[in-house]
Amino acid sequence: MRRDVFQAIADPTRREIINLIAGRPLPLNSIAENFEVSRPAISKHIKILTECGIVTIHSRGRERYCEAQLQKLSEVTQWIEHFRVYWNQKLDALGEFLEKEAAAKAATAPAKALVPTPAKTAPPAKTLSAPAKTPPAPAKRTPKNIQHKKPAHPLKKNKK
Amino acid sequence: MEKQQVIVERTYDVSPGRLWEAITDPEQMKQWYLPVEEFRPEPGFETAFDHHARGKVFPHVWKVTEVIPNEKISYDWRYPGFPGNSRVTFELISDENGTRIKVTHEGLETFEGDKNPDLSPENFTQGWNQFIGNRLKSFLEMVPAH
Repeated sequence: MRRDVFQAIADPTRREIINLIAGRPLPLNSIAENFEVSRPAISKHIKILTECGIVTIHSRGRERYCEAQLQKLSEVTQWIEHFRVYWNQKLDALGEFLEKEAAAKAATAPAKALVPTPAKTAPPAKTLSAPAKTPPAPAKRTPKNIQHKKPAHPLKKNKK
Repeated sequence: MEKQQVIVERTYDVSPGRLWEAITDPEQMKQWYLPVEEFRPEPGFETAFDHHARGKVFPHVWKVTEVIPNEKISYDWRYPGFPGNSRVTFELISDENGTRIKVTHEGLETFEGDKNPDLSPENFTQGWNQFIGNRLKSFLEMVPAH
């Protein structure tokens, strides 16, 4: 049977045990008092946790203390984290792609500054908002929501 | 097991329709996302493609599960030959700054990171050092207390 950190946290009781002892080691008996399930059941969960390497047991006098080995949890957070990094990179790339496309469109559209005649076909929103995006922005690595600066002009952009 | 999910959001200064094209038209997806040859935003549509990265080939299989044009698309995402099936959902929300995109990737634990060395964290060297220092906090966020 597989014994790893993924299995360790697969069970709600085991997660609760980890939470309980995350701050300080606790005697097995004290841990069991926090649960409605039987002490043997808790012992079994703790046995699995030790086999997964996430809990170690030390005897002090007559008590058996359970200590969480939290560094094992980093295997899970790392695993999840790689997807967070992945999606942040992808969405940065999407933002750059959208800006590049908008800039390319603006370059081919009759630009006000270059064409002296009134550009009656180009919607003004497009022409006005385009220059703000022209320089391709460097990839943003901020993990949180990025609010792109709104151009001062409040016109709505129309979907073509 | 509790859902192990990642949520990432951005706001772009474009219309929902423009963003929808970028995330559902394979020609556009190729330019920022993944080398997907065929894609149609239709429930049941399935596509497979190879992604070459770090000198290795990562076959992908996607199956579209839910579509609301210009608003939401979900697809299952798995790596054939390996355990696990995750689900990615893109949601588009129009707001005063343009369009907010929210990506939710869930079911990540089903990939069993330890089972697939090519997908293991060691292959993704960026960004988690701060997590190791912060691992308990992350863990508690990931696994809400009862």
